[in-house]
Amino acid sequence: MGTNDERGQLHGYTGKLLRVDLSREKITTEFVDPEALRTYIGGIGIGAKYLYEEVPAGADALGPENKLIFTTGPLTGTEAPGSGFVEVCFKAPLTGLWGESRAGSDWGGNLRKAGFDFLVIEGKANEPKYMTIHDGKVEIKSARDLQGKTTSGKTKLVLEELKDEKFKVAVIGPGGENLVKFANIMIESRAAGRCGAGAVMGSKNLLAIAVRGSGRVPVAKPKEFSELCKSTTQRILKTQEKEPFNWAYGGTTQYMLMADTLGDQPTKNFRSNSSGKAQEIYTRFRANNLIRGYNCYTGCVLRCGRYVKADSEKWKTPPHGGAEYETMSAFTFFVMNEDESAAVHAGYLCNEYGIDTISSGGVIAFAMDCYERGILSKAELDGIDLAWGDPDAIVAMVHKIGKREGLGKLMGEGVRIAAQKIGKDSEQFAIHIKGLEGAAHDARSSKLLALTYGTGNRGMCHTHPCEGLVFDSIKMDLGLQSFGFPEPQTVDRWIPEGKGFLAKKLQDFTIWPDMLGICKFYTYFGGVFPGELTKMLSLLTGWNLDGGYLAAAGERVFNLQRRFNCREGVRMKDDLLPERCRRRPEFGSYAKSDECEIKDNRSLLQEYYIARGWNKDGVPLEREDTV
Amino acid sequence: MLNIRVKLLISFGEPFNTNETQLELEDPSDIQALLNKLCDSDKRRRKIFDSSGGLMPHIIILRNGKHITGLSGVKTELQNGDEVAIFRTVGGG
Repeated sequence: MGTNDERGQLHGYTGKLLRVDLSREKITTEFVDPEALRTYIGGIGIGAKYLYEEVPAGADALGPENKLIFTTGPLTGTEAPGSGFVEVCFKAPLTGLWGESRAGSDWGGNLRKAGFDFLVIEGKANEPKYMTIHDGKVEIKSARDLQGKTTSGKTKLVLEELKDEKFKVAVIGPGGENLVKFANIMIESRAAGRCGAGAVMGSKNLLAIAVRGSGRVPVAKPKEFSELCKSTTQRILKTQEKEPFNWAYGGTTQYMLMADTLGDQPTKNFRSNSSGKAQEIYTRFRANNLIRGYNCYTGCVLRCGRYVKADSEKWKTPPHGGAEYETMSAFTFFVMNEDESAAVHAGYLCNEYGIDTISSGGVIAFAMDCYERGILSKAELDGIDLAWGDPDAIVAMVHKIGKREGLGKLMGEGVRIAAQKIGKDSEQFAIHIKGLEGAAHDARSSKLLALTYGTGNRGMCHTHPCEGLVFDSIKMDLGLQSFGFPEPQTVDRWIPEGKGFLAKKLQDFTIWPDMLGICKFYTYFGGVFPGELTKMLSLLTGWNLDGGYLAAAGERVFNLQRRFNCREGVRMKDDLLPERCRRRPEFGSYAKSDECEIKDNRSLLQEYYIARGWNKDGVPLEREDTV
Repeated sequence: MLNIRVKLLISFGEPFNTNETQLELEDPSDIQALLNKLCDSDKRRRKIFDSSGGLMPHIIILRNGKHITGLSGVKTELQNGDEVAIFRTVGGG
């Protein structure tokens, strides 16, 4: 192990953290303790460490005491496959708990090449500012001209002012400036979308961060590391050639066909888990909106992204990167809309306002439920006739939320707070876990998903819980059989027994990409499994690690996030699925299936807590090996 | 005769040219018989079966929402009106 000031001895990291106090405009560089790097690896691991240590319980998520921590992992910006990621960690305004968001881009790689693994933003600027980080040089500039501009508008203005197209820019939109609780941070067409990172950035009066770097991160065994990365990438390319994952047909969006059949498609605000409409909506989307696939960072060979457009006069939308599976599901099945071009348009607007598409769709579905039952009147909805499936009403609501005007003030709080304020039993239609709106996956498709959804540290999110679904329903083994996992084909997705132990183990392994700073699609679809990742990390850092070490690190980080949440009061009650999501679907192909119901959510959780070594209410015990 | 609805999410266009079809099979029939009827060309067979005639590892088959691996695999018997979904693995996030 190197020491923190002997740069030659630390490999795989710059070893530096940039701390920017916006209240005092104080910029400092800190050396990160190498022991902490080895303990928490990087990404959300280091994010959890700093957030736990520096943001006290009860802190106002939108106050100056909250911190916005941009983290990379040791593999970010390297030759490793999937290396184009940045993670943002913060106390989430939407949930009041552990918040994290990630985006694919070259931003994280540039931060490292500019000399920093991590960036901690604290305090609050006295007027709108933006930041530049260029090869170790950091500047804070006035952002008066950026105020109120859309995300693409801000990006364009920053690049024009810097007169340097090589900068990568992370921005917030009007949503973040207006403190919409689920505002995001956009990096080109990709969003660090969930939990409200954009609102935290907005609360600090920081509108954009531009980075550019040209340095290198030292590698312990450069030749072997490079060879392993190259051979892995070649293997992925070969597999793709032979049996492509059909990304060209629309990237993730095509999953809606499978979701419909698996019962993994939340429909009509989770009244059902299948729509029966995916085939026709997707076919029209392919014909009318899909242009081509693209990669979100330089060098990606999976290319899950897609450029889309809408030509219809009403929903005219320019070509842009968007319309991924979650966004399209949120603006179709969640809200019963069958106009695919309106859904593409709504997703585009969310990106420009800088608000999360999933929460936006969830909030609108909730409001539709309230409107149908007379809990919200047309007058209370600013005159919008918010009937299920009405594309005009959906798009009108997106504008209201993005501008935070009229009803958008209330809906911009997210469904949990909105339901508390509306009352009248509307809480039963507010579909969320820990305050985060449900994503386009349905726990009635898999008991493992029911657990990973419920116990996900950031709430009912679309990334971490996916492993439950991927293993239980899609039957991918993720290279885990050598770590004692069963062959997924032998596991019945609807059987609850044993799922607690499986969920715990899955979470400990599948958190790795977020600690290493890579895209998790490379573990799903690239076949880059734990053994290979461990080898890459060892060659990069010079540490001689094994898979068991990284799994223990995964558990440590997961527990630390949980401790952060428990310190804020999280207990078993916060791990339960909303009642509607446990019940038999009201309609659709699973309406007669009682196997898909989640009849005993508490027993599922009890087995999981035992596996985790937590107490009966879900609080981690003070065990040295899990701290 | 058995009338079976087949959802086919292997590829768009070639070689199956459809995402949904109705097949008529002798009574009794199993999944293997359905796949044999569906894969009536080498090109189609190669999308579903490996060189030794087994299912390709990334092919997932459900009968009425249940994975056939939890039933009797390709020997799972079919009943009139069943829905069979054949996928290749893909995920969405």
